[in-house]
Amino acid sequence: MSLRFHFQTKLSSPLLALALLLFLVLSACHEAPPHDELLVFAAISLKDVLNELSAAFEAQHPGSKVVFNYGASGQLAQQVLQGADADVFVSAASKQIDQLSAKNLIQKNQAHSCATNRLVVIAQEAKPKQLSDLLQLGKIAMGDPKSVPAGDYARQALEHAGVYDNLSSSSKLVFAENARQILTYVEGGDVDAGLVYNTDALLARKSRICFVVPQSFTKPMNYEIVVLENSRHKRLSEDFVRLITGPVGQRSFAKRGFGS
Amino acid sequence: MVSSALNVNIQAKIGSFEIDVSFALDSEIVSLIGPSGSGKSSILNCIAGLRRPDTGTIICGDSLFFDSEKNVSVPPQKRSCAYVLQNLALFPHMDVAQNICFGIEKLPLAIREKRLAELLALVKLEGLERRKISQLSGGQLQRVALARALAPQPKVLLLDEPFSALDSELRAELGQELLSLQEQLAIPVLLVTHSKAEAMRLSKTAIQLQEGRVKSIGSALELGKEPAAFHNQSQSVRFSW
Amino acid sequence: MNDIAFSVSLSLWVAAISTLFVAIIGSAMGYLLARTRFPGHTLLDALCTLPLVLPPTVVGFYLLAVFGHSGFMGQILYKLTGWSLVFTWQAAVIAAFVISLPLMVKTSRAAFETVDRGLESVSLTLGKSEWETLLKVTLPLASRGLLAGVALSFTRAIGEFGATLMLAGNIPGKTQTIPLLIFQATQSGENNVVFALVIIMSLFTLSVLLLINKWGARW
Repeated sequence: MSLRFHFQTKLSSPLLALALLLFLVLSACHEAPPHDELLVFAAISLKDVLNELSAAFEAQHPGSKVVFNYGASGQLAQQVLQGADADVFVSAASKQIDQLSAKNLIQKNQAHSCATNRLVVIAQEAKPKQLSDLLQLGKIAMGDPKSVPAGDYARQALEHAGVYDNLSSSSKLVFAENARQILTYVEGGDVDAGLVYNTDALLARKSRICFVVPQSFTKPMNYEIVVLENSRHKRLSEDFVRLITGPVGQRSFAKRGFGS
Repeated sequence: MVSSALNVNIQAKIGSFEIDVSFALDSEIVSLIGPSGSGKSSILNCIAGLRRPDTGTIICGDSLFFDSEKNVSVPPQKRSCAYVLQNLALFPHMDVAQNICFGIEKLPLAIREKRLAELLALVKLEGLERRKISQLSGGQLQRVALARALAPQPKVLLLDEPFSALDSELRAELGQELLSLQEQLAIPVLLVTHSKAEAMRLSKTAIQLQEGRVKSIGSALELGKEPAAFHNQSQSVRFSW
Repeated sequence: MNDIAFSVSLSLWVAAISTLFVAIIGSAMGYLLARTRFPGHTLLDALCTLPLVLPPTVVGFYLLAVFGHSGFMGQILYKLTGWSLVFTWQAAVIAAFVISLPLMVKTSRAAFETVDRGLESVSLTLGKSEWETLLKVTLPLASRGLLAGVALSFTRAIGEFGATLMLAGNIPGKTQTIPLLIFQATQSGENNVVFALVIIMSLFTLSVLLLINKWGARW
């Protein structure tokens, strides 16, 4: 028995090594990266508008390519803090900007506001007219305040209306990781209402916007864009920021329901 | 007319293969001999109740095992039929005593112990009750398998190439023991073998099987006289003379 | 600290219950697939493997579609009991069950296939019923593999994240299992919480595996 095993390993290890080598070589043989590749970390609520703008940017700067890493701003900030090689960071809240600034990964005064958003309450069947009406409903879906800016804004709004502690202690709040999840819960009837960005609510198919949360209930919902200090494409990144904050960018944002 | 101890008359279609046999045994050892693939094991399976023939009857003494016309098919548990498989199929997770008593667990303790002692004496395995199966030699394994099969005092014993894994000395020894066993127990024993020498040694009657059908039933001694009739091109190497 | 304590006890509870069901149902299905042939056999095998192949989040979406408020199971449940499964600890059990079932089915099927069928046949001829044969012959001989399957399923259940997140939600104090808390703490930079949980989970899983190995070796 042991003899046979020995023979098999003798034959199979060079074969295995060859296969591994082949695999490594092939995977390295992808298309050589274009001369200038920008890695942009951006809040996921900006996906559609940024994709559109990156096409315009690449047209303006031939040979360049913009690659996005979309996610919850909190998660993205963590990735940058852990050493991710991003060039540009677009956050949905200033909290993450502060976090990066504290570690000198960005200069706070270099951050520009590029868009604003509003918080809305959506529902399928329920008809709340203001935040305190939410107390009458069953479960409410919102972003996780600890990591999703939209969730943090929602918490601020609910606290301002004096209902957050009540809802939280009666376990009515369902924390979701992203807007898609909130929409799924609302449209499936698993929660009675949800708090999402206005721009996300516009994507909903089966639920309606019940009301817009007053601006004063929360800190300003500014999206901030900043170039990272360790970026290896500083000039290009700054050009990108200029496009986003300039008239072309602002038009695109407005088209999709963002404020200026 | 003397009613035989085991009367088999069955037809079965197994895949592309058809079995159609009819034979009877008295209280004796009868060999069922034939090239591999001729359906020997399937016939044993039918008698034991592990496979259901398409048509026919199987009668053991005054018990009806199977009758296709009356739609009777007694499950293997209720047929008093002992079956020793070619690979013995001893339970590896039980010791010798547990293996032997497996079929008589429901009997009262006193009777069980008595029967165990008798069987161990019968197959010459006294003192080995607590041995693990993995610690036994080929001949000992054979004896345990036999003892286990005989514990429930069956009315018929089926053996599928019981001695094929043993060397010639052990074969001879166990063969002798089988003969004396059968005399003591006085039950029909159907012995499947592909060895003509063994058939001639252990049985008076031999049923020759070919492609699922009985080629001939006759004296075992006849086997030694017809070498040519038994040649199967691809299998000739297998027959021991 | 409260969050940590709750998620640890919830995770243990959820994993224990789901593994109990997985052990019974999974080994039964493994037995069925190993011992019988019927039309749809291959389909059943494929269905059992599906949750293993799909990303857990996708499985979560499917579960939501079935057990959610608009799903057919969810509606039946609601009509019968007025109760909703989504966002409850029971939902976490269901998610863990569905995700870890394939592991048990595959392992137990392999375990049963190694049991010599001749042993089962002989048992029948010796007077044992099919059930007695299963209990006295098949199960003891397959026990090693079955135990390995249970261990595998348990550890998979305790680490379940994607499907749990969708169906049970991330509700601190109610459905927040260890993986959900780790994820949340990672996202918000609470590294000490993450550290503590990772240690707890590793130690616990290790000791469970060691225990099962020891127990299995005894047989």
